[in-house]
Amino acid sequence: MSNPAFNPQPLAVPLIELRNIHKSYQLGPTAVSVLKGVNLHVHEGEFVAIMGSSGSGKSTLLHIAGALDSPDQPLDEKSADRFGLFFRGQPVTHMGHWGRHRLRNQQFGFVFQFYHLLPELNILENVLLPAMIPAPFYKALIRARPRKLEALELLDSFGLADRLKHRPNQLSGGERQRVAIARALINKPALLLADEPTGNLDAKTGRSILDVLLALHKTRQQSILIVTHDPSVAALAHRTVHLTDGRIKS
Amino acid sequence: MYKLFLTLRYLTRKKIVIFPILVVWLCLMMMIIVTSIMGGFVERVRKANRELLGDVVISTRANAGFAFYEELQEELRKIPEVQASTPVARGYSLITFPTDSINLPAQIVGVDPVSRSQVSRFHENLYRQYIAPSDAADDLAKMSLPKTTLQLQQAARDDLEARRKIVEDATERALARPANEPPQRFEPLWLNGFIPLLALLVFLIFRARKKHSHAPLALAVVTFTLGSALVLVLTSWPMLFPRAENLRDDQIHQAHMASARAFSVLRHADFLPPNSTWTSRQQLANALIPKAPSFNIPEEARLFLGGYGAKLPDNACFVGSQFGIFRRDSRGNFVRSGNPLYYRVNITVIPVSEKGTILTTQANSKQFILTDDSYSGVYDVDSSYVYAPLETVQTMAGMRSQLALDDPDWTPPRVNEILIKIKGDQNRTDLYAIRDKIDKITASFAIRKSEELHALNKDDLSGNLFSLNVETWDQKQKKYLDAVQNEKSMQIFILGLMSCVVLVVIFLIFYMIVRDKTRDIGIIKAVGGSETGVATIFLLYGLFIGVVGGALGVASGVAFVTHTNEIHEWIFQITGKTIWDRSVYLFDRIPSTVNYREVAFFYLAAIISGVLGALIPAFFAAQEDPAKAVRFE
Repeated sequence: MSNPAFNPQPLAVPLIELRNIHKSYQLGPTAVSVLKGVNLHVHEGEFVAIMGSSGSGKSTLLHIAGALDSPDQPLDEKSADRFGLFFRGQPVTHMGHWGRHRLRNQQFGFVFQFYHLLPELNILENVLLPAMIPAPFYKALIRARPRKLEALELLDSFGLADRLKHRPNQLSGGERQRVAIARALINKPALLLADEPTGNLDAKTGRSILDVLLALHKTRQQSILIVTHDPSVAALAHRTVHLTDGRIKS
Repeated sequence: MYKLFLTLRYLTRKKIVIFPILVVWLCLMMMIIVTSIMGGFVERVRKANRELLGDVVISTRANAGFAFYEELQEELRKIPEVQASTPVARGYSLITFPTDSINLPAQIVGVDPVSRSQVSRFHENLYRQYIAPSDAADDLAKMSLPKTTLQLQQAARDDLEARRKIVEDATERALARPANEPPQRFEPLWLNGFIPLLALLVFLIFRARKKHSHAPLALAVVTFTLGSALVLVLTSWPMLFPRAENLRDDQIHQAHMASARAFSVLRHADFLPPNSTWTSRQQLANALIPKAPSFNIPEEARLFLGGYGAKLPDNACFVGSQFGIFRRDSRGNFVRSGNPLYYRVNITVIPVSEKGTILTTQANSKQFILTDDSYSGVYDVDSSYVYAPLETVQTMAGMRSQLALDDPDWTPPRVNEILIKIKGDQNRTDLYAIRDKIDKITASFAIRKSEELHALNKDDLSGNLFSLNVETWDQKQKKYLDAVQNEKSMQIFILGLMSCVVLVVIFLIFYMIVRDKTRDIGIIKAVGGSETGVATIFLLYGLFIGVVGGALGVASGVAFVTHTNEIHEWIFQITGKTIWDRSVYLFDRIPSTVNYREVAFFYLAAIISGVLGALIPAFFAAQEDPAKAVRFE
């Protein structure tokens, strides 16, 4: 399924590309294969949804797409250039640990189903956390004020301007998810990766979160890769891929 | 930046952090208190020994002693670093208190009180001749300082009368209580039945609310335990803390002490020139304290022992304060109200020939008047020394020939030791250098003297001059000082081992924190945090625990150590109990010396412990798989 509103240049290098992705987990003595040679790409400004039933490997694929997890090397594949994650054409496996950390911090923004905010930090601090990571101490001090203004602007645009000093446990589910989105956006990432962002919310709140994502996509041309099992969510994307039994079926 | 930020947030917003901080705090405080008090003890022992012996000691192990000591002292005076020297003669003796028919073995020590006071603090250790008048001057200065002898006599009489009244009142109050009456017990028997009933009630009430829980039973058990403990404390309180009795006993002692001091002032005032005047405490003290210590028998002793006409012994002696003559109260003060000074005592000395043989057939016995007591702070000395004039002891111990000088059997007088005081405060290296210098001079003196004697055909007189040992004060007392130092080292070692528990506690708590924070670690990695960054957060966390807990430990430990005696006094006032029984120990105050180098070392160890305790959990944290951590709620 594809949405005709988005037509990338045919020869343009995708933002991310997943080539021949395999992943298996060791459960006791047996290895359970979750992904079996998945190929996927997301272009700049594209909104892609991954659908699939529970346990189909959607989240694993998203984590690999966001360099949070590493794929297995296929048994028949010796060349590192023919499998794995590629960011703007560059193999992520060649980037090393620090490169991957930087990639996650600068180019990817994660939104999780269970929000995953740090309970010891208030809302503003949670949003600012990714902004603090790359900078050395002195640079962070210099940049602190502009980054804080950006965070305030983001939170204000999400209607959370009056909740800055609150802790995550003092917010509703929808508010927490908006904070999580703000955190994902603070470093202006190239790709927003959302893992069932409405999965833990009621229909109305879930809709409001989708509205936020859609607005981001429209106003900022934010590239989004979203994992969902809800067809109504997937319907909003330019393109939906179905993951069944560890393989793409679309 | 984020590492420091998250560390600070975890520190300020996670309550579990209190426990490792508390453990580091208490452990460091304990280390500082124990090492400071042990260090203070070692320091006091060293100081007391140095003040007793001076800086360098020339001695012989031969009981017979060595001769020509005056000539050797002349040689020593030529050394620019030497300030003073004094000879000491020793003898084995038996002291007999005729009134009590008590015989005690003692070491009789012959000293010249004037030169001895120039070498050591001999003068300042004498109670009658220094401590009592000094305390008395303090007592009088606290009131309105008398300016003339007449005023002083009047003030002392008034003070004595007031103190006597206090003693009488306190004693009367103490005697009003029948002897052997057991302290009153608080025994409300109804409480014994009330506690189980209360526990049962708690159980039933909570059982009605939470039927399928263990909480009601647990609450009932807690109620029963705490209630029983409370009853036990309430009923045993007077037995645990017999406050009133001890405090009253203490009050009587204090009044006795003050009374004895007032008597001492009066005694001194009566013998002062009638036209003396003074304007300060120091001037008054100088007037009351004799110019130089002496074995002279004071006039008051003649009065005390039966008037001017009484036949008194010619010789006076001083005895060590710990000889068993004075009882010590719970504060460590010697109780002198039944002052046994001016006792007549018989001292029998076993003389030793110049060859070192014991002349058992010629045991010398003399009657002395005990005119003072000496408190040096060295137990061995204070519990066994009897000081007497040098020549008297030499004569009694066979060290001074009674023959005429031209008699062929005449031998020069002998002593066992020469104590030497070095000018200024010498450090250890300088002191050892001076000791070497004295050693060389002593050796060359021995050679020269033996050559002179050989020329006179009197070789037998040079005996023992070649066996002289020249030692610094700490070499002389090495065996004793090393034992005390070893005790301190052993205690620190054992405490250090016990302190390893800090590492274990920090490790366990951090392990719990890391387990608890698995998801947070995943989030931090998901937003770009590295393995090193995550590990650094926990290491910084451990570092802060060491720094904060250590700082609290240092502050409270040093505060405790510098106020040990005040805290001890406060505990005594509250409970009537003494932890440091000063009637047993040598020192009347709990000695403590804060060694800041040791404190700094312990603080550093606490910080390292914090980091080490967090090291393995931090490593585990760094290895957490972020994808696994963020997968679930």
